[in-house]
Amino acid sequence: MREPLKLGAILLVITTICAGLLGFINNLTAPVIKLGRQETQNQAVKKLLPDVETVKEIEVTDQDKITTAFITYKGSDYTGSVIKVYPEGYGGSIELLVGILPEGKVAGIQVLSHQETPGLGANMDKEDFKEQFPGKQTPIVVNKMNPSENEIMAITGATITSKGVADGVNLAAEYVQSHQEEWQKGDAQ
Amino acid sequence: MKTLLERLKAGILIDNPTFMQVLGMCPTLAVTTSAQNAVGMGLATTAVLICSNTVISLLRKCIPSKIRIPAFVVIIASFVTMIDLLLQAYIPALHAQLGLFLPLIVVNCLILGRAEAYASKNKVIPSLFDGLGMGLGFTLALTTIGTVREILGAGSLFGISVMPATYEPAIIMILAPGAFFTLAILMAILNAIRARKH
Repeated sequence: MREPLKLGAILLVITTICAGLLGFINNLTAPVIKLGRQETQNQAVKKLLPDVETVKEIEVTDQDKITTAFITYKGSDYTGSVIKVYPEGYGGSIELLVGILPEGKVAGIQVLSHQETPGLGANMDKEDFKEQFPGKQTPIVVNKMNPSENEIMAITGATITSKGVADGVNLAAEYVQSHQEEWQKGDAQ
Repeated sequence: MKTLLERLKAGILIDNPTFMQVLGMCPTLAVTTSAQNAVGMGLATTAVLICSNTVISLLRKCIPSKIRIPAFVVIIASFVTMIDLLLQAYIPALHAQLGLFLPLIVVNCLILGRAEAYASKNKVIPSLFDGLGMGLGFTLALTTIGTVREILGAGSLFGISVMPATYEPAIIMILAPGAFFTLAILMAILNAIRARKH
């Protein structure tokens, strides 16, 4: 009867020490990690819309696949927005930033994270694929060969990934279209 | 000193964790799509292995054998989480590369295997070297597999093109089947060499 209690107590001591250490390190690193994430995000936003002065970040709660919108202004003029969207790829959700210009055209895309197959779907993070998006008018359609004006060329062997990214861009554009008017007035709250 | 060198040699050659003990197959197969990934995974595992071997060896007299497995698992998982958080905070570039693979280290039976087979029965310094040797052996094995797969499957090595432009990469080599092909062929070669020696 005694032994199980003793063993349990020893395990409790070990787990308590480990939990304490983890808590300590988590406290130490959490602010640094958060800062780093924001930094990467801000840089990605800047890359998509370079000519902006202020960026207003709003949380999107009424959408399934969109979590954040970055509304940009120059002076009091609306200069476009960057939407964080999570379309479905082949290996799970893709974390994607989509820049949309005020006139509705795509400014570009940035991939923050993904779990696509290396050598196939993962090629979406290469410039060859990403550089197809700037200047396109949504809705964007994926084509396997000879894409026309508002179509993009699918990645070889990764049609699902390509479609996922295009869906994400279209979703972001749709969201922007329905909210752009209020943002133009400058009341992004 | 002799034991220490022996531990290193055992880890890298005689008891190579991948080719001889066939431990830690999940990361071996999943992560070796490129040489760079393989090196990163190998070094991260080495770091965890050294830490966990040292601590488990230190605590070997305090942990009753009946609860050693849960105790080891808790210690290993804590180390992995700590390294994950520290990398994420202070070396985010490396974390972006390894992020997906770090949690995999927890389930790498190589680490639990060394804790059980060596660290829980031996003194601290030899255990540390055992961790280092096994870690380096694992890194070497992963890098070899990663190199073969990356050259054949992507035509590059460490991200730099090495094959002539006319070479059409065999994508299957960087998909799951390629991992099994490469591992099997490398093991067969090593076994043939060993059989000849005897």
